[in-house]
Amino acid sequence: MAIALHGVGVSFGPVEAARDISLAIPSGEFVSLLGPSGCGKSTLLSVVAGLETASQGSVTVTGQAGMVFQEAALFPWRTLIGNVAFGLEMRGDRRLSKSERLARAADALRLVHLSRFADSYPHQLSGGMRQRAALARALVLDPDILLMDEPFGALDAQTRSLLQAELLTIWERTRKTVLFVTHSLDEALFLSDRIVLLSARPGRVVGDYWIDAPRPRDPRTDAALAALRSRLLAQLSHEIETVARAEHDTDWHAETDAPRVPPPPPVLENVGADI
Amino acid sequence: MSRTLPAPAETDPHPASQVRRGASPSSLRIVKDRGQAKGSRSSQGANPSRAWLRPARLALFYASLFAAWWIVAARQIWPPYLLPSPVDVGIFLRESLADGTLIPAVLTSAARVSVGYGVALVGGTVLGLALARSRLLDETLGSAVVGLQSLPSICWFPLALIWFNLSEKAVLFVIVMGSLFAITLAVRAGVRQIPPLTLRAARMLGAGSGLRLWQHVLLPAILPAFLSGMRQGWAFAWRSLMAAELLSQSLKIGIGHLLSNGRDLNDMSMVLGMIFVILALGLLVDRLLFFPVERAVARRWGVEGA
Repeated sequence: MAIALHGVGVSFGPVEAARDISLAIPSGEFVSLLGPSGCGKSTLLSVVAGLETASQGSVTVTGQAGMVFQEAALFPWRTLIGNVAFGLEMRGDRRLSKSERLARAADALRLVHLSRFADSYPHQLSGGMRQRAALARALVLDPDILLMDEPFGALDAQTRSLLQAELLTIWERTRKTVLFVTHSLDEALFLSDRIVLLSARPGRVVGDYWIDAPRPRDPRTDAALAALRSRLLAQLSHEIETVARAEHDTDWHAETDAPRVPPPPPVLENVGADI
Repeated sequence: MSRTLPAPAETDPHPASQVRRGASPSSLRIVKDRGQAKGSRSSQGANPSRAWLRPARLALFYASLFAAWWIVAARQIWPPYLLPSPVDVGIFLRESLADGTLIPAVLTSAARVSVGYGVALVGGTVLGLALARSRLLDETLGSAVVGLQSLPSICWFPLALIWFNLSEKAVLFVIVMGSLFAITLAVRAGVRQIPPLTLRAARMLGAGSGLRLWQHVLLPAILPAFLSGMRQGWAFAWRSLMAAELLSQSLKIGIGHLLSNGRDLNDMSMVLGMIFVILALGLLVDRLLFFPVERAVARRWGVEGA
């Protein structure tokens, strides 16, 4: 197992973010953590990353982990290639000379198709480019596990679907273990081998689905996928409603006050097709 | 841009080039948005005309100010001992350069401010970093720093006179107290403004929490804030020095003393001349030293105020 969680609970003072989470993720698997906002999925990712500590339970992570955040969080004083080479410098890998570090960083940039912008500064790039650079910065260290915290959440729809496809290509080539946090069902369906559904806070595992549909996926043409999608959607909607109820007055009812929208047409921005 | 552009055929991201194209309805709309009556005339090469317009306007403003002074002085509405002409001030400046009073005074003042500012820079940086990293310090000493920052530095002068007598030390003390806290607060703010995500990213990439984190992440991250603090600190140091020199006659002659001498001699040309010198030196250091560095860093960091 690349990642093993046993009865993990996370609390911040009186706020319980996650409760009794057990999860085993074999290496090479692409797993999405899906849930309504504030369900503790990002917190869980931080625990796996070692940025937060679990209040209960045990966390076992085998191998190095790299992380991509919702914002690129590049260092503005470094060029793209400088940003990508940062981790190599920090790991203090004495075997690597400066030119080797730069060569590796250049390789990583090529992997995300940013070679042309190696000498640009982050503020000169678009959000999507910055996020690709952040991915390169994590990949250059050749981590065993890639932790992604809603990495495409802040991007516009077109850029998002482009990056999803790019991530998939990279994952198919490198077969890293990926733990991907998202609140988008379609994103999770498009990308992952497995979707772990978390409940509203405190986050608990309420569903664990394996998807064996071939990629690239499109629920419009794949009946089994469409069925899974409706099932997940129903479950997710229930959790979202729970969150909404907590945020509205007590006389609010999802059925009457939020006119039930028919399940959104399964438009999976199928990348490349319409761009 | 797209909000005002109904024509889907012309989705040029630069409104300026839209305008240049002229007659289409969408460009008319933009011209209207920008400056009402100017019409399409202003659209002709908007960029090059802007480039010289600003300095030209500035030059014209100062030239007219100078001319007004000259005219008023020439008509002797006020007697020359109250308002000398620019020529008199020019003559004073030339003479004080020639007879060797101005340059040594400038050097003396420069030496004083360098030492005082240097001490404040080191002290302010250390203090600012300490406040940023320790909550206890920040809640105690930090509140005092914020309070003392609002005290005009010359208020320290009487205290300095009692502690150090009328000496170089007293002047130095006033300069340090004048600029120390501005630098401290800038450094503290700089560290606090580092986005938490930057620190998390640095940690995930193996920067640790010690020296390497400081060297490669924290210090570069605060550089823009630090530079503007340095610049502000300089302004405070220069003011403090002038105030202190005005009030300390018996020390080695600095330019503040020359200003004060002008008043003692009832020599308005000297007073105005020294005001110009003090103004020019303060501005020169700011514009030639601090401003370019601050701007270059802000550009590189991408934190320019647009």
